[in-house]
Amino acid sequence: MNDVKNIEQEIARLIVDTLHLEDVTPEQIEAEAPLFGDGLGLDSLDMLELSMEVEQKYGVALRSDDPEHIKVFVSLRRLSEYIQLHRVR
Amino acid sequence: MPINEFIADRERMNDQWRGRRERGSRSMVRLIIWLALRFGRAICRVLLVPICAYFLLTAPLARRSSLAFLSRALNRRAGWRDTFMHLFVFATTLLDRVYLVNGRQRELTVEVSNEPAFWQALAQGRGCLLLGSHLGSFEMLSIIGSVEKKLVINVVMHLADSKGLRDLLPSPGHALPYNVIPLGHPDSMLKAKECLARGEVVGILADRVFGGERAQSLPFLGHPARFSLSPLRLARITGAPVLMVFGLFRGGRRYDIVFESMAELTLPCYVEQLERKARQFPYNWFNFYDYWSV
Repeated sequence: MNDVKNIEQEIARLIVDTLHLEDVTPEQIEAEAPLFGDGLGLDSLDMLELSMEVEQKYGVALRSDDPEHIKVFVSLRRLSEYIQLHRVR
Repeated sequence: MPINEFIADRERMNDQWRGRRERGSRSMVRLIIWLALRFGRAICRVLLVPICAYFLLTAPLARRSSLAFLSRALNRRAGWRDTFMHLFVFATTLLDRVYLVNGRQRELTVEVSNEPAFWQALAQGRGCLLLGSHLGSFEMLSIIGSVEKKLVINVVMHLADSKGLRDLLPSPGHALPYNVIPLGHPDSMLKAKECLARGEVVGILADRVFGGERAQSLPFLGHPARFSLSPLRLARITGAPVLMVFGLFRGGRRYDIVFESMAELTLPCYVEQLERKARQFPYNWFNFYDYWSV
C-alpha cells in the first residue's frame, strides 16, 4: 500500500515538473480527479508531453492504438498503477 | 476546415453564428453540394452568382465581417462589390471541394510552388507538420497526397468539422482523401505525434483558437487578434519539420498550392507570414466572423 502512495507522489511530482505547473503542488493533485480537462485541466499537448516523459523515465510506452491507454490517462491513480505494473526501469 | 464556415461549430464560433443565420448558411452549403454533383462546374459557377447575391443580402454577419476584413487587408474602404467577390470566391472553393473529395480533381488546374521544400522536409524521416489556415482551401493538399505518391495525410480538426466534410461525400463508399485526428480528446496530440513519427504529414489549421486553448494576442492587419499557441508547441515537442501551406484560388479553374518555410518557429512569425499572404490574396480569407473580437 505504501508503494502505491509512493509512486503516486512520484508521478505527481513528474506531472508538475514536466508541465511546469505553477499554481499546483504535487500534494494538491487529487489521486482520483481527472487529469484531462475539468480537474487538473491538462490539455492534449500536456498529455503528449507527459506520455513522452513517462516513456523515457519508466520505459512505459503509452500508445494511442492501445485500448488500455485511454483509461490510464483518466487519473493520477490509474496512471500510477499502470506505470507500476509495466515499468522496466 | 474552411468548408465549415457555414456549419456551426458551437464550441468555437462565437454567439454571432447561432440562430437563424446558421440555418440559412447551412442550407447554402447543402444547395451547393447538390448542384455540384448534378451539374458541371461551369453551370454551377453561373448559378453561384445569384446564390451569392442572395447570401450577400441575407447574411449580415458574413457581409459585415467581410467588409471589416477587406477594408483592413486592402487598405481602403471595401464596398459591396468586394464582398460579393469575396463570397463568390468562397462559394467557388466550396464547389471545388465537392469535386475534390469526390475524386474529380481533373476539373481543376493546380500549380504547386516550393514543392521541393516539402519533399526535403519529409526526407528527414520525422514527418512534416503543415501549418495551414482559413486563407484558401486546405483541401487542396489532398492533390499533393494523391494515391500515386503514397503519402499519408492526417488533418487535426474538430469533430463537427469532419462531420461537415463527410456531408460532402455522396455515399458511404467514398472516403475523405486524408485521415482525421479529432481534437478534444486526451490522446489527440499523442495521435498526431505518432503519425509524425511514422513519417506522415500532419496538417493543422492554425489561425483559429479552439475552446480553452492557450492563446496569444498579436497584431493582425494592424489590430490585435488571438492566435493559438498549440500548433507551434506540437512542433517543438515533436521536433518535426514545419512548413506553412496555402491552397489559393486564383480564378477560373486555377489553384496554387504554396509551401512556405518559416523564418523562425514562433507565433509572431506565423502571424506575420499569414498577414502577408492575406494582403496578397484577400478574397481567399474564409473566416466569416468578426476575427478580431474572439
